[in-house]
Amino acid sequence: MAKYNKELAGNEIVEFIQVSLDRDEDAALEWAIKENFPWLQVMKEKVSKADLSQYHTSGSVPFYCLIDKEGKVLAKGSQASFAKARDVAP
Amino acid sequence: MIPIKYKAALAVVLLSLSVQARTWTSVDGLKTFEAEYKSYNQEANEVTVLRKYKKLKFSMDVLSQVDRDWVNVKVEQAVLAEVAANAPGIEDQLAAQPVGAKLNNRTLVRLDGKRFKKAEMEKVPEYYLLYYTASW
Repeated sequence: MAKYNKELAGNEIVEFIQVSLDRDEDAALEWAIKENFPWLQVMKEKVSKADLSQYHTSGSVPFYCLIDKEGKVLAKGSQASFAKARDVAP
Repeated sequence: MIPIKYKAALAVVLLSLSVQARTWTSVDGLKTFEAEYKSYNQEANEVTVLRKYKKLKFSMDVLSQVDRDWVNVKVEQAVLAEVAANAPGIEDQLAAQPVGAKLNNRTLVRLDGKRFKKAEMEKVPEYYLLYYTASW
């Protein structure tokens, strides 16, 4: 959250999206309320519809991936993704 | 500088902008009159004003440089307003993106108080930082 606030909040060209892999939406909601997540989220049941499964190439969470608007993967992993996001920011 | 395609549109469209009367001055600076600007026809290089409820048309060439500059500013403002009005909205721009189209197709939620509420993107991003996670 601190990293998001510091590096991405208010960024006009990078959208931060949480892809929740919680099977139990109540658990996801409880966590979101506790942390007061400000960003957009895709719930597990909508991940396929949003075509986001293809980018989650790691079997574990958390996992970060930076893609462009065409769906091209630009970086994977927390450090690389945030670094690349900084690079592309105006 | 006004793009040619917009100049062409301007040539046939009378652009109404101001509702306030102003003082117009002749090119030689000797005559002035009060009138409300109504429009400018680029093809005819003609300004239309409203004076005492009567429409008057005259060539831009008879106006002072200050007046001509003022009209040009008004025309540019009208063009910019028209461009902005015709610009595609966020939804249309996202629909043109492979990623944005799918994401904005009723897949997004945002925390709203004590529940998740359906949400849409409020901007047109060039990039998406996806954060795969779970509460466990």
